[in-house]
Amino acid sequence: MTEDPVKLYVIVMGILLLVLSYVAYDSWAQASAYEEAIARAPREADQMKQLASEVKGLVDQIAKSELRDGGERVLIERVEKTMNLSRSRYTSDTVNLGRGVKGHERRFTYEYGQGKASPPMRRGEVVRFCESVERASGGIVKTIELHLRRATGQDQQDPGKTEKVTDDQYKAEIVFGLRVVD
Amino acid sequence: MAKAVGLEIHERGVRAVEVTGSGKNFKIGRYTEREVTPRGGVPDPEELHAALAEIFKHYSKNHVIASLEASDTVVREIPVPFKTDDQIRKVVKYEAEHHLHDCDADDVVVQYAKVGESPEGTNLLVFAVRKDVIGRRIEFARAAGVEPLAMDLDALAYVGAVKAAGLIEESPTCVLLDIGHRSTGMVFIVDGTVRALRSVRLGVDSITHGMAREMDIDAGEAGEKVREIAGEEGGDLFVPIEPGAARPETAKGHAELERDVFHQKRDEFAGRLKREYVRSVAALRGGASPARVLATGPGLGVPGLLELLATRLGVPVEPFRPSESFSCKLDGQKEQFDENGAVALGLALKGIGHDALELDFRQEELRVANKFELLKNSLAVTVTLLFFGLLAFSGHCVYKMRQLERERFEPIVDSAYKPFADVVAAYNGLGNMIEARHQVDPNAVERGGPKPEAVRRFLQALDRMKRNLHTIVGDAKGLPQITSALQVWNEVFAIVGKLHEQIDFIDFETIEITQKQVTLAMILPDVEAGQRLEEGLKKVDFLSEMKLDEWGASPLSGTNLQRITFVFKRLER
Repeated sequence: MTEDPVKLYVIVMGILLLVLSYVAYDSWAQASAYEEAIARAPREADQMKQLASEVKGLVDQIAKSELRDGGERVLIERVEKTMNLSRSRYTSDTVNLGRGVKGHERRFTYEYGQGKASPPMRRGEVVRFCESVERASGGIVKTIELHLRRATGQDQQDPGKTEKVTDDQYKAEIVFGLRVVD
Repeated sequence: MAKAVGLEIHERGVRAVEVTGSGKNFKIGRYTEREVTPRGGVPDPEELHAALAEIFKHYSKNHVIASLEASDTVVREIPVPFKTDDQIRKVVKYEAEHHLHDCDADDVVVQYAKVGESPEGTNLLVFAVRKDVIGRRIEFARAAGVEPLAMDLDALAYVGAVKAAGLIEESPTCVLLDIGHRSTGMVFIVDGTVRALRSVRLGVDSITHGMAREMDIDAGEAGEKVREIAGEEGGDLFVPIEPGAARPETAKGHAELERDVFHQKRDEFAGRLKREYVRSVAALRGGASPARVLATGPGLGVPGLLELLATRLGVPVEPFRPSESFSCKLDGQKEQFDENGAVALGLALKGIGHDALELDFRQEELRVANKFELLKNSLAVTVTLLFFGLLAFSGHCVYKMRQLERERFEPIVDSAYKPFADVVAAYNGLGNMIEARHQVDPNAVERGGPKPEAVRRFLQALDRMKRNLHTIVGDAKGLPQITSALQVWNEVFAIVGKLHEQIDFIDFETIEITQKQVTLAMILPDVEAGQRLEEGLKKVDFLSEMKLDEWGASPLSGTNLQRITFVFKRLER
């Protein structure tokens, strides 16, 4: 260590000066940032109000849907129950949306019109069911696919007997679903 | 406070002065002088080392300016055909070489001062000192652990002290005498500028040695007798030697005889000095006549010498007493300092910026190796000033920020916080729809960084919430959107409903609606009905293909019916 007190002082002060330079620069940068922040604060406050209102709209949309009490499947089946529909088959699956898309599709497939336990559906009944599900979910759950095939009236309990059915009755496969980000 | 030490090393000893402060405001803090036995024209090295070691126990070693004796210097006035310092500096050494008869230009350090200008160039007063002389002085100092930062001539250091005292301003044309033991330095100042410097090998030793010879005693004893006489007569008593008034030698006592010898030798000294003085004044160009002579050195201790010189030279000869011009704390040493301290003082003043000619004889290979030594005091002051300047600046910035925070940001953040917190509460209120990792704490957002960025953080949090909600409702950005099959259904059946009156019946066999394609297979009464339907369905702009085929009897009516299949490609909407 140096014995020269002036040299020691210069070295120590030099180091302190370096540290202080950084502190001063940082303070200056912060003060400048404050001034910029003041200039943009009113604009940001307006943006915030607008964004808050958009978020509130989405929150309301979800709040109004019946999704809050369970998942999409619970909602669909609640509507199904209300309309006194009995399905013949239910499946659910998840489909990847492919390369370049960070999301997937949740699909719920309901089939109707196979036998007495699940009688064919009229076209209007299909439309009402789909509309009810979409409305109850606040537009969140959508009807992804509809597959209607006119029922030929083959009785499930008596496969050998062909039963005449009206023209407006269909075996229906309805796919509900929504796409979400991974 | 900056400190500088002036160190005068001469044949008989060493003198040191310490000054503290800046160029304008300084104090003389210490003065010390130590005698050393001379050995062959230089001080005894061992004694000098001991004296310096003792002095520098108490003095700062950091900023020492040392002296060279004018008697070791060759001084010449030479003309050079240049006017700018850059040009002069390049040639001065080689121009001076012509005037140095007994040494090579490479063996000397040459410094110069401008004494006048002419249309052809500049007249310079050139000072040349042998490098071995300078080197020896540096070695003396180094032996005591001192590295002199600069070196100057004793006579010029004396000029610096007188100038700092304001006496040159008072008498711009004057002569400065440094009456030493073995030599006397004479500096001639004309209109405030040093015009000539002479070192005459004539000192007060010539009085004591003359007395010693006359009285057959040794020089030391003769010196004692001079001091005794000084004590009896007083420093200011002038006893003129008047031959007519002299008593016969036989009638005089021993003391009177001693005094007579002293007066005689002093008179001889004054006479010889006058001759040198007159010769030098005559050599000054422009015939300047000095208005005053200021004297310093051991000659001041010779009683009546200054008065005698004043009579002989025909100008007032006054002692230069630094303690009368500068603030100093030199109890008990004031007298010594006033008599001998002017040169050391001038050197110390050079260290704090009072530099009369700005000459430094530490040049070329004798230059101070460590530049830091030269700069460290200025550096210390600079870093201190910078430090406090930056500290004040940082403080100002911080104060400004706090003020802005208090006066400007707090109201903005406060007014933005409530709507933000309300929305967050509604968002968090969606319960298990919002995963725990997506829940938002409004307090944490507000306090999660600098205040001015709070509104921005609210915005960022709201944006994250919005993206999460879009994910929940299935229409997140970047995902291909689902078109509800009901939309297609409604569009197709609206057209079919309109055509229903024109066609007897339309019996849908299959209806397939996917996100990519819509396929309707139906039974119609005839081809014409199919064509009508095609026309109508063309209004649905995504019709891609129509297939018509004979199908045969209807299972319901038994009639021949047409089966028609429409295929629609779904377009991006």
